[in-house]
Amino acid sequence: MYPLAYRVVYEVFKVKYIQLMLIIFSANCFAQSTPSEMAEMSLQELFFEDIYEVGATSPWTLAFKFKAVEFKGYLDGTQPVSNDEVLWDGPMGVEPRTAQNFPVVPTVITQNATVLSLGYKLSSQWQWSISVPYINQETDHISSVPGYSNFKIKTSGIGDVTAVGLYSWYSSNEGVWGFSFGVSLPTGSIDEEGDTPRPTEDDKEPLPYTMQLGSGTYDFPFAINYQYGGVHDISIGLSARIRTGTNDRDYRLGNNYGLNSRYQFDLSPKLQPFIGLEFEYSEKIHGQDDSLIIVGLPVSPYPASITNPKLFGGKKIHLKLGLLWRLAKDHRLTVEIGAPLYKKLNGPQPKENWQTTINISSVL
Amino acid sequence: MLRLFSQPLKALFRKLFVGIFCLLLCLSINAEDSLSKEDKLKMAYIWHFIGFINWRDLGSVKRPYEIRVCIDGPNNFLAFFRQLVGSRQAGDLEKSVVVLQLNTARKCELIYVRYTNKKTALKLIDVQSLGGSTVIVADTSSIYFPDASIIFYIENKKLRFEVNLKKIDSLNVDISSELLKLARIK
Repeated sequence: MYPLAYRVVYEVFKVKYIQLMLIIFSANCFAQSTPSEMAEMSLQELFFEDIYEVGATSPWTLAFKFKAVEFKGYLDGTQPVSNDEVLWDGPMGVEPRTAQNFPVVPTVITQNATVLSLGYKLSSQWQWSISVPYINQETDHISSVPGYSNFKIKTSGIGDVTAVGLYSWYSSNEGVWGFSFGVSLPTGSIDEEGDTPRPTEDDKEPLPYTMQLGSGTYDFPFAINYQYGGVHDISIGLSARIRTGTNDRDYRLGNNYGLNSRYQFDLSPKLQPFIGLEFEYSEKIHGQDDSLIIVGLPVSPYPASITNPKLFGGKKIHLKLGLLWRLAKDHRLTVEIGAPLYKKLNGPQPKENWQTTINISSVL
Repeated sequence: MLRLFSQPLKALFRKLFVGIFCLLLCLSINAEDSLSKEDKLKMAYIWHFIGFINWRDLGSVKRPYEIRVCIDGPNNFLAFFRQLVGSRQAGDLEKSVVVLQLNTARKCELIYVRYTNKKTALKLIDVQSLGGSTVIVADTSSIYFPDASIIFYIENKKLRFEVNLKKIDSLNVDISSELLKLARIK
């Protein structure tokens, strides 16, 4: 079904995950402060020492993140729309074709990304990191096309590699400003193909925007963040992903902008639960991949909502709950779950149901 | 319910399972060294307290004299402190430090109380027949120990300590001004 190389990479990646976990946690076994190290510290050094295990022993950091998101059901603006309303029953049916219904309807979209990041701390204020994502996507469909009443499409592979620089500025004893900027390289494929209801000789047709693995353009992520380190651990941040140019398929994904806040508190020296709110605004797709349209369709040339570039983007507010577990000196595990509290989408558009993230980081 | 076993969740649980398995494997290896950094810092502070406190009674006895540190805490706490003591000499070379479990000790120059409540504290004071030179260090101000001379507290994620000067003055000990400079004085 997929090229052999993809399957080999996927299988190797699964094995590497287990090996990586063992490396991270076995390193943890030897990462504690020793009695002699503590005895060597002067009284003044103790006075300024944080009670948490911070302060990297090496400038290198390895992080492993797994993120899963599920989209199910439809929204047009803020109004829910049923799958039946989005599905056009075809030229022989009773329902008239409009710009809001389609012969093919994705019902459940699941995306998960496994991201491996390597960071290097240049100084107490500067650090950089490079992240390589491996993406798995799957979409269930219903359609009015004979022989394709239910079908599934999957894609997987390396996504866009991102390099980011981070500058920390300690404005006072109680707050830290963080500025980050980077570049996302178009390493992810935008030429993914699969068996869709469109008739072709080899059953391999270009897949919609949501099933591609990369943006195909050079993108620039920016963020600014302030963390108040006083009695209450509160942080707020602004972020943006600016996309440039047009890719080889004549489109550019929309820019994303975010405003986030988080409150974290100490359950114990090692466990910090947190709660966060995140506002996200994303634009529609600019341009269009003409290979996704069917000119002969009545009213609208788009066979599915996810092939129409105007039915992307919108506004969302997410609630996120999570737990930071400081496993040991230089080792952290973060688990986070999130769900949208408010959504206003350019629709009809598949709506996000939930997302979850697991992040493990370790100083090498 | 069936959605619980959808593909992305299966993959998530599989990865989570592997991660937790590896973590547990490590924790089982690392079980003895499960103290938090806060605890380790407390022990390092106690170690310095010994160097900055002079027990007047002991100054007249044969040197090097013995400082008995009695800990009201778990075994791994005690073991870590013993290793810390074993790796360094406190203050001048005239003091040698012996670390004891509080419930088995009979006389102590310094007591560190961690879990004691009011009832056991009073019993402990009776059993120990605390003399005029026993310095009591309390883990937090929430611990009821009326005779505590030094109390640890947390401020802005840093470990600090408060010295009850009135109590110290009533003891047969001298405390260095170097130590008092860093303390909150009560």
